[in-house]
Amino acid sequence: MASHSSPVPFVAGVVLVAASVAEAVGVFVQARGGPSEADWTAVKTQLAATLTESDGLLIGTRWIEPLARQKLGDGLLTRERLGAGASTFSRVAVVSERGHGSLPAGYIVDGRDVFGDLDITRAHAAAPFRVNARFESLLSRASVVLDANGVETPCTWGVYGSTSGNLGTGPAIPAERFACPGLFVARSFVTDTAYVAHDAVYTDVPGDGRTVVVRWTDVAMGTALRGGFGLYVEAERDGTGAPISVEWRINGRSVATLSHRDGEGWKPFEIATNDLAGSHEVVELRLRSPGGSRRWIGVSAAVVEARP
Amino acid sequence: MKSLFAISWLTLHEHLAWISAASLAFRFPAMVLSALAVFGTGLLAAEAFGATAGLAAAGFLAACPGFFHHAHLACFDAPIAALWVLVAWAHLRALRLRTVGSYLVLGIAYGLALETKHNAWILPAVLVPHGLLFGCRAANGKPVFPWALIAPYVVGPFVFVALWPWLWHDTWARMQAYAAFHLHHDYYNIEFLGRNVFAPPAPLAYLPVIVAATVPTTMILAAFFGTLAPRDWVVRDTFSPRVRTTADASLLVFCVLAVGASFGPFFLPNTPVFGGYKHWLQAYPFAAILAGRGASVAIDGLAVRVRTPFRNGARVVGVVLAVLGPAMVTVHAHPFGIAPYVPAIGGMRGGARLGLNRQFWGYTTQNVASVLAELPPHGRVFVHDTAWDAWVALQAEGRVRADLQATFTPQDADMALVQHELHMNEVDHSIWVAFDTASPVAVLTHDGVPYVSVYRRRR
Repeated sequence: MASHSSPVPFVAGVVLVAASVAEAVGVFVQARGGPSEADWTAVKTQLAATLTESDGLLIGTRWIEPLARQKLGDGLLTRERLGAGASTFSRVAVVSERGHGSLPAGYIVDGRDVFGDLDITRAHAAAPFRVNARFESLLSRASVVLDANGVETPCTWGVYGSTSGNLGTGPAIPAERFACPGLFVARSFVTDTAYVAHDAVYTDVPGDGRTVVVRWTDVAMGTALRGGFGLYVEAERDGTGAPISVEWRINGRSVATLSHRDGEGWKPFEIATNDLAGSHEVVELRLRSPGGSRRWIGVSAAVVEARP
Repeated sequence: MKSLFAISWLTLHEHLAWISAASLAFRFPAMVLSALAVFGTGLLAAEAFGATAGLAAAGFLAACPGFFHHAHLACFDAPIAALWVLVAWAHLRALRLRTVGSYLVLGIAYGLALETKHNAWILPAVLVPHGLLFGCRAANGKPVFPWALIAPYVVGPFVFVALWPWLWHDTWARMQAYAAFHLHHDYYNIEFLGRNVFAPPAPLAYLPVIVAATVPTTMILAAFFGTLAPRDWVVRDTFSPRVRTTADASLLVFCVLAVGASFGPFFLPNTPVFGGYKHWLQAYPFAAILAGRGASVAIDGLAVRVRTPFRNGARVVGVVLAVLGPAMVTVHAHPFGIAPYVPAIGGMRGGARLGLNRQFWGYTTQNVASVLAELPPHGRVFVHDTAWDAWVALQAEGRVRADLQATFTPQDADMALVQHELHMNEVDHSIWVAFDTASPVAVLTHDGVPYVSVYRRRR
């Protein structure tokens, strides 16, 4: 028997049986791990005791996010914390599974607490700031018009029928929204190309030359407008749509004209407004596109004020 | 296969009432064919490499969690794997016997494979090179014409057309339509390493990563060893007197070609992703044969140290130990066996950390039936990715409360499901708006990993 003269089959036999037994043991071990109810309770208690209203709460490990929303509840994972983006929170707490999560760029770690299989990393922005206003939160107090070559058609805030659907339907259109001729402006969660939710001012930009104008008055200005914008994933992932112009005006004066092209995903922006810090102004968001096929864009923005 | 599903339902469920659940009757033919695939795999391995190899090969295939899961579905993937085994047997037999009858059997087997699923189109990439290597010389060394290379393509199409009445009219146009359907199939969304892949090409790493993540590591190790182990290490164990050294090389090469041809298309630039490992499932019986060969050599390396009277018993124990790990993975994966992430990558949580897909077509709905049962009579449920026929069957068979009403828009529902896949996040986000909450009332998990969230409308 040739196999007897070589040590390889014997070694292979040992390895094979060891691998199989290890695999069986591995199943048992892995079935018993994972964040427990006690871990979540401890995390919730800690967050409830330490988070202030202006702090962000991020879920660093993507797959635990549904559990985090269930266990922590809407009270801790508020709409703003779910969708406003880390860059609009000066201090954040990041909940992760066994450290499998990353901090947003530009944040400095203050500390880390471990609760079983979960941990909370506390961090603050390298350049501290406070948020004076979140535009999507103030949408119901804004005014919306459609601007066709200087002729403005007002849109009406009201409670209408809501729309939500299955895969491919696009972001839900809530009952409370602005109704305009042929379109809407609403606060919704927009899913970007990375499948991340953004709490945003959401609309379908018409491609017929009309501009969607959202106007907030008496905005307490800070040192910058900060946020991001992007299209609903399936509206831009094929890369066939027309670009969208995203213009910001303050008191009628254009301060920035940004653009979004299909495939760019969620684009962060920051517009310096140092001269206006401390004043109350009229801020306008103007959206237009040369083509109108599924230009389903969301814009999320806040007024931030740098703090020493 | 669809005809078999229907015949099974009509006879075993409707007429004879031997199978009480209609869904089980539909799935039964795939189960039978999968069992035959396990048997055939073991038989092929045993004939070429010995009984230990046969036993191990059958064990590895039966305990391969992806194959086990698909063996229980009314789908074509496990059946086409069984048909590949049948064609392999018929091809090897035709090369050996060189009779008209054996060629006819091979042709019929290939026709049945064509009838089962279009993966049969790949088989020539296995049969032709193998036939040229092993079918051009008779046992006495004289050159012969390899009729076995011709038979599948002469007989097979007749069987294909004969068994599919739709092809009896406008035959050529409908065959083209059938081919076009598969060649221009819709792309599906699949999460791979945290990214949603929805258009060709499939990432080059897709197949290797998914194989490593879902095929038991023990089986992969055994298959590699079985591929590389020299012929003279294969031991003619005493309870397998029919071992032939010529068959060893022939089957070994056939298996390598079968695995290679099944995997190959996923490295081509135009191959899209429209699903996971089920598209190369037909490779697994042949990988199991290679693993059986490797296990046979490895186990015998241990068994020879046991006293002769106990040696066969030691071989059996060795096979049981070698298959133990894979079997545990398979048992533990149930009922979420479509994504059976193995301990080597960290199990289910490892798969989730890597950003790998964990379900498809909302097949997990039944697992949240107890949550849905909390609804008042005639409560409305947004069933998300649950296939409509599946929902109807779940209710008809009492797996989900029969009075509940399925809706297809969250705003019309009292409860809403989200079957978690990366590209389904948008549905989650939509429900947050429709239900004015982001906090589900229940999250179905396996090893702590979320599968389904259930939201309840605030009163």
